[in-house]
Amino acid sequence: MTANPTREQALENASQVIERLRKRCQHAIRGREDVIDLLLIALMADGHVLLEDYPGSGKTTLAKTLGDSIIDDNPQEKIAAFRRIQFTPDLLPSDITGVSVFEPDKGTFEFRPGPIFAHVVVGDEINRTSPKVQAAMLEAMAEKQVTVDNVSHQLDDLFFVIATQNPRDQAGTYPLPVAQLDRFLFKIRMVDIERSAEIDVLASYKKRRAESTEELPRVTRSQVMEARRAIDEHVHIHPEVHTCLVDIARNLRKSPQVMQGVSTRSLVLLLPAVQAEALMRKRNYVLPEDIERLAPHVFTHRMELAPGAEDPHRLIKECAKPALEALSRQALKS
Amino acid sequence: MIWGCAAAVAALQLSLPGPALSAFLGGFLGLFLAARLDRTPLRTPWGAALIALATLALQLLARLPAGLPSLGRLTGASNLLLLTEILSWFCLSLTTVAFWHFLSRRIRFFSGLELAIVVGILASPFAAHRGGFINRPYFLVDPLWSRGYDPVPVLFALGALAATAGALVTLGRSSRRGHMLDALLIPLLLLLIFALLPSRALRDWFPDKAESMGLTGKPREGGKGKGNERPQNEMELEDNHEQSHSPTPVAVVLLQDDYTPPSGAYYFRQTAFSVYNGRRLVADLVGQGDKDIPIGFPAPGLETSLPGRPASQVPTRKLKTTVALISSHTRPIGLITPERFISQSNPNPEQFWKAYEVESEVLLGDEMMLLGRPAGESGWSPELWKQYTEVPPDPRYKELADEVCERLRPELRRDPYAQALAVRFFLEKEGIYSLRSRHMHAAEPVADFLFGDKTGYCVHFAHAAVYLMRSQGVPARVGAGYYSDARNRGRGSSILIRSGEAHAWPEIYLQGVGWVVVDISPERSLVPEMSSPDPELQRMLGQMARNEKDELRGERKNLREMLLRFLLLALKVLLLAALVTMLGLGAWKVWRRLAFHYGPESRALGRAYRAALDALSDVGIRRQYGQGRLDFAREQQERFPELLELTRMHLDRVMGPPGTPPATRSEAVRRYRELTRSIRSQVKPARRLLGALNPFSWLLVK
Repeated sequence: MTANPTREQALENASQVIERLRKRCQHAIRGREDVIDLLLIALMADGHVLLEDYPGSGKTTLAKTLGDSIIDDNPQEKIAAFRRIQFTPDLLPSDITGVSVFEPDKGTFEFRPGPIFAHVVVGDEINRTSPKVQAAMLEAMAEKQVTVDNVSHQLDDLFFVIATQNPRDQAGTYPLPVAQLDRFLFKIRMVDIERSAEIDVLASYKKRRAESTEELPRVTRSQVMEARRAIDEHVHIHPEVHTCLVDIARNLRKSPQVMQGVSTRSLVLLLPAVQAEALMRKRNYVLPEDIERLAPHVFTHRMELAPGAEDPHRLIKECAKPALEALSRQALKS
Repeated sequence: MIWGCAAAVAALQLSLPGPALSAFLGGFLGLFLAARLDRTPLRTPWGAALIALATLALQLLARLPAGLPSLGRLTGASNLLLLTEILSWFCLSLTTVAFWHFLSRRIRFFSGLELAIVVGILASPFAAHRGGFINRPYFLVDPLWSRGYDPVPVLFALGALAATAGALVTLGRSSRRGHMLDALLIPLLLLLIFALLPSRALRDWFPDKAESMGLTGKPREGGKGKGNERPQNEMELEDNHEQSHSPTPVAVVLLQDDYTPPSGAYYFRQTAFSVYNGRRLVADLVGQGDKDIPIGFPAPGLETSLPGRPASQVPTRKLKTTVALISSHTRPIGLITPERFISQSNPNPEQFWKAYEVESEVLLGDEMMLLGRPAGESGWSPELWKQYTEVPPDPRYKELADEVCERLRPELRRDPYAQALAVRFFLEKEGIYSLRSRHMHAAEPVADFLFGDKTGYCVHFAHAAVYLMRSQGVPARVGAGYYSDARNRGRGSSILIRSGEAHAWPEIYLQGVGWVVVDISPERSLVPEMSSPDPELQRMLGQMARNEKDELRGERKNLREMLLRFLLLALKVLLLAALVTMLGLGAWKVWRRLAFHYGPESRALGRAYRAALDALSDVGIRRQYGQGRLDFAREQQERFPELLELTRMHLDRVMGPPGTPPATRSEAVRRYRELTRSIRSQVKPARRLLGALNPFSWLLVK
């Protein structure tokens, strides 16, 4: 792995960035290593995450830690590292995007950015707010800009949303349609953490409160952006991987248990994610294992199952298996 | 198409192939005609009438060429006949098929009828087979027999096929799966029936027609027979005698030496009727006379001897015959005069009911030598004399007999044989042979016959002759059994007896000669003469009875041997192929293990990795389907850490970005050696040996 020193260096830096972020997150949250990994992958792949879990599972802490871990080194704009929006039915789009306020001193309207202008934004219970607000939020996620009074305001490049919704307690909610769910790279269903991890959470609670994460090294915004670029450029995707992804998607569409298969866009979004995953596994190329790990999180919320079908994770695994096996075998032939 | 075939089959039975072909075409066109007619608004009765009219007209038209002498001169008579035949068959099948099909299209009932007709026609060639003509239908069965195979399974299979097809059509399932299921289930059911049913039992379901003479049928035990069954020891003088000229074979007789009787016909006696019971003659149950009639079949391995002929004063000889009965009989039949019945093993239980050998004392020379011999035996008791000479108390018999004998030359008037001949000639001249007569309900049926219209069948004639002969004091009785014209024998030595040849005849007793047949064949007959038996069938059954299937069996044995040899060869080839395959696989396995030493450097790593996987596969460690290579290696990391390194090196090269320098051969070899070392240290030797010997293990490497 010494062919291209700059490439190696860039990847090395990227994995260091990821490692630092991971360390900080793991220090703050116990027993959620898988979720942390997925979050970091989404961050590196420039995607957003929808967490499905119950209150008190540590998602705000996680998002806050992540936001705190990134130092804003952009001097021009003053953007908060972390913001949290609690979505309610009476929220208005301007509550999140910001409003133009009349400045009597200058005699002009001035834009006051809303909470969405941050590096890491946590949208709590996004399904509780009205579709109008959801649409504004999702536009911001997709376009990385907000439009207020016909003026578009660019969001930061790092803009990373962690939205949550409660899988139970669906009364009075506005469930996100599939088209809007498509804005999220991952939908992560958090399962209860292990017993030992939970005990650890209680045991180390005081200690962790005392010695804050401040001691652990942080990363700068530009470092994160650099890591994103390095992953995109230097983690190799074998052409067979493309074949494999397309085959998985086709298998899913063909399956009688699937009513609406996954889109081509989801495959495109999956590519940076598997690259990030590969780097996290200390590799500069993508393997079938990466796809196997990420595909369920990317595909579940993008497809519609036929009536009677359940457990989309298993279904995706089954549909992916032949294509993954073919990719594995390809590796022995060449 | 099926209609066309049916028409052709019908025509073929009555005509030549040419007309049959034309019948096929006619039938085929008839369908189209019917379909066309069906579409017209013509009403059904009118349509049918139209076709019927067309039938008539076309038949007339078809006969037209025959009436044209000029055409006849041009083509020759036989060609003209053929042409006529072709035309008439064509028209007939055209209109017939059109008629039925038109009706079946219009009226639901007729569609069923149409189906029945077609099936009936198509099945008709096979029906003969059931009737004992085991060589029918020729086109199918002959080739089978000639190769020594029993056609019954083939016919069963055909029947099963037809039944399946019929069932499938009639069931009319809509789904294809249903059809498939039926197509599978129905033959299975039929097969089950076939397997459970012995073929002999099947034959017993279809009784023979010779039953009417009381000759056939199994002996009944202790009068347990049903009420409507005829007692086996008498013969009814019935009207509308059922005994058609059925050509169903009932027995085959093999002459062990060439012999043609002086009378020109073989008589096979089964029983005789000599006791007058006030209405007709019945069998002698008391057993005073008729000692030459066998009571039953000889027990297996034994023989029955009969008195036979007295010390003969006329030229006779002993003749052995083998009788193979096709249908069951009450008593054995034997060529006159049988002396010994010797049981014999059944040469072909599939075809024959029973077989035995008969030793007969047969007459030689001219019948005229029988003249001048006194009647009866000197040692006979008066009772026996009375039994053989008793006549109904009707004086007309005596009068008629006297009158008949009056015609003889004076020196022969008291000669018994001459008297019998006179009676015979008289009846032959005066009598009319007919199966339809009206004497049954008369108080004296025989008198009613003899002094009435003299129209009757063999039983009437035999009785009348016996009464006339007895009235002259000649001991006489009615013999019953089968008779076969010597001409039917052809050149072969086997005689095929058919149920239509069941017969009754008068016999007289001459001193020093025994019972002599004086048969009557009326000059006038209302019954068409019976056709001679199928020589092919006669020959074939004869061969079977003679167990000459040996020849065929030999051929079959040869075939079996050939089959066996072929199977053996096939087995050898298979074994050899398996061996070669194993060796080839083994060799390839060894090559895969060593390949990384050779070939280009760039491929060494991949080959070393493959060899490592092979080595692991040998001891039963393989990647699961769908499992990632790295995951697999990580799974094995505890036991074989070298694999993970090797896998990573390989994947770096294969999946990694281009331009990555591959690991060197020496490095690959080193990793592989390390891995094999750890396999050796961790896996039991027995397991390793087993793996090493397995030539397939590498095939499972993915």
